[in-house]
Amino acid sequence: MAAEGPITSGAYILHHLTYLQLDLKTWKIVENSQNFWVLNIDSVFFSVVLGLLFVFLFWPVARRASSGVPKGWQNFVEVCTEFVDGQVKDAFHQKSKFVAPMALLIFFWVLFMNIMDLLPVDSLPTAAEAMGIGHLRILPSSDPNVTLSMSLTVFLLCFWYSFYCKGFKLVAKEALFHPFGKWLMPVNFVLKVVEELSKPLSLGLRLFGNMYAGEVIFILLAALTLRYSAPAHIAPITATAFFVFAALALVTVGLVAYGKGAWLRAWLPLLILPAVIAAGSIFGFLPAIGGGAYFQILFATGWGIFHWLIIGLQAYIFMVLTVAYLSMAAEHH
Amino acid sequence: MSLNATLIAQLIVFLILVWFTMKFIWPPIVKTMDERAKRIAEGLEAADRARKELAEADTRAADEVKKARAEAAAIIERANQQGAQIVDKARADALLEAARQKAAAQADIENMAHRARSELRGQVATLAVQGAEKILGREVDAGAHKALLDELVAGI
Repeated sequence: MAAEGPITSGAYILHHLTYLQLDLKTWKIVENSQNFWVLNIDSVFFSVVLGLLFVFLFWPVARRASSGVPKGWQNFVEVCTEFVDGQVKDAFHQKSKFVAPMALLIFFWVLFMNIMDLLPVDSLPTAAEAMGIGHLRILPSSDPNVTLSMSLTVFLLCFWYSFYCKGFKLVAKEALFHPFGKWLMPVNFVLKVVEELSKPLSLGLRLFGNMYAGEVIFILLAALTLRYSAPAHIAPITATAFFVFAALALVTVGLVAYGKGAWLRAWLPLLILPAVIAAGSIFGFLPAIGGGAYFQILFATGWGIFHWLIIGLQAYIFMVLTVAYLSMAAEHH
Repeated sequence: MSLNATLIAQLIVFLILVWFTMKFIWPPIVKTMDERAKRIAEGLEAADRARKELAEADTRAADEVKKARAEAAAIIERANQQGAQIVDKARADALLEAARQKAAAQADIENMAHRARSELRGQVATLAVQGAEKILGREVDAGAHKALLDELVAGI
């Protein structure tokens, strides 16, 4: 919301979908550049921060791990590690030092990146605007550069791994004589290339597509209520309110996941708050924030709760498919 | 959707993170978990062993108790027998002693009776001689009538 005065929905949405870009040739901040030598600072920044978050969550445990009675955070880390290890052992039958750690990293990194989607669409960009940064996309996994860089790495690893495990002869044989026999060698090869290229592309684009769609829906929900909402200078308050509510939703989901008995206690505030919000927006006795904000909170919370499913699922799928592709690369068919 | 240099930057970031995880995060955690699994397995095994040993000790103790009880019973039995034997022996001894004392007493009595009798016999002879002296008014020569007197004494 850079411009003063009324904003159109289109401008609002476009604003939210614009990266903070740095032209690597001129070292200037650019907007919507189509050049290759441009860096999406926001994507890189947030993905690095979230990668460091993973490191700082797991590294202390790894350093101070004791084989005695585990407690607290170490328990959680070990449960996660065991979960990933189980997944990898199910799908991947070779001995490898990097597959399981990579799966762990992918799962949590992607998960953390996806969770960024739950932050209110206006919160961080508004804060950035206050610091003089015009555009900010906080969801790295809706940047195809991010997702494709991961899937490309996986693809290269697969490529190397298939040669490493099977040898050049077997790889060549599979590429040339499968599935149609030696008389259709070129067709076989083309098919193989398409098959292999489709893996990283689908892997990266699946995550990108899901998260992009989720993000756009959040932005649309915000835009939908925008015109009924308070003027731009109120936006930080809206954002804060939404942030509080999203945090509440987060806690709720955690509590529901934590124990069956806790679900009622967990849902109670969620049931009361929408009622207060609805009443507030209808009767106007909570006028300070602007009616639209309440609806945004309501809608975005609903979508956010559902979106948890996608967030977790996409992280899980990315991890499992990575392991599966590497396994396919290593094994004879 | 536009691909740009972010792709390369992210590739590097991803590789660094994978390397770090592979080097510093994954191995210690997995090692710890394996160690713990081993320790738990050892603990369970030790518990099993202890339980088995305890059961063994129990049966051994029960055996010991049984054996001790049997031994005690044997000892009591033996003691009873011994007691009975002692009592029997005492009784036999007493009876024997009694019989012996009785026999001694009887012998004494007989002796005494015999002595009294022979004393009396002696006195009878004297009395008879004195009586006869009175009757005859003169002294009877005891020597001359010794044969007669002896016959008399024997006749008493």
